[in-house]
Amino acid sequence: MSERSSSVLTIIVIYAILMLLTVLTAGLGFLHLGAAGHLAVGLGIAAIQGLLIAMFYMHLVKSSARAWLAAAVGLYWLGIELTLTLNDYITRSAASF
Amino acid sequence: MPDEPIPLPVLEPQFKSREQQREASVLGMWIFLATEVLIFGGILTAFFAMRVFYPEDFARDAGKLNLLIGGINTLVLITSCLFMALSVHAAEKGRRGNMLAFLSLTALLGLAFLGIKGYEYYVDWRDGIVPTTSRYDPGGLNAGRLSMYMIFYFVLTGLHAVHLAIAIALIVCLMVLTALGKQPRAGATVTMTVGMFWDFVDIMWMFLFAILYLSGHRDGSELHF
Repeated sequence: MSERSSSVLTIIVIYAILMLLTVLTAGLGFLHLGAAGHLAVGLGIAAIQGLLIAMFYMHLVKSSARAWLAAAVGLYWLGIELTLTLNDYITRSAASF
Repeated sequence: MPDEPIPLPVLEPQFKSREQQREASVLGMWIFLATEVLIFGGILTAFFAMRVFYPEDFARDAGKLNLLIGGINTLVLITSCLFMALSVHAAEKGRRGNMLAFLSLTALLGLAFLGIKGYEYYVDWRDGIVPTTSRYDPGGLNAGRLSMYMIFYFVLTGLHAVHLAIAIALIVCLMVLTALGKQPRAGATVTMTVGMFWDFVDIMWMFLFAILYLSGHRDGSELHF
């Protein structure tokens, strides 16, 4: 069987990047970006970290198109859940409840 | 004995090859993880919906969480991910001793995360930000009512802790079976799929850390143990 796991070097390099991104995320918490700005930056960095883990630690980079599809479907459903719900809440005033 | 190599997976009759068998296992785990995304996603959707209406309450309460302890826990979990990836690598190479050693470190770091989280809950209680307790002191806009933000915080981090406890239990089961020479029939594939679940729990924490700890007003006063 062909190997799926990443090389030891790749695993360690990804680890170093993940640690750096975490320190960066926490450091940015003290800049004056506003609550929404912090949330956006934090989510952006978390998305990069999640992508790195999925690609190299969960072996998506060496997986078949079927595995990619299954992973993407989860995000697609989450997108529907978030978009359709918040689409309503964001465009409705609190007074209408 | 731990030094014996991990045997190749037993080919089950419904598969044409071990490659196809592993592909089915990995695909099944991805589909399971997609449903897990929706479990967390439902609560996060409610969180963001409430945040639309109470942005100031949420930002102020988020600033009360202990960023130092949360940050240390994030580094602990990322390091556990490193050891999990190394154990999968060792399993694929057939190195049973290395796999067991890395799995042990992974589980220990998972336990460390839960211990630190428990301590953080204590600090939260001590600082008077745990709703419904006698020390609870909401202050400001929340005076006289519970903090919706803190309820989301405990539900989300509690759900995450339950997932992590399950992941630790899976690792311990795998380690005991392997140490007893009763390696699961699927061989290294089991380590890979358990590792995928562990990594998923780690990814969820990255998002929870960003959403819960970093979306508030901070002045540095919350950096303490």
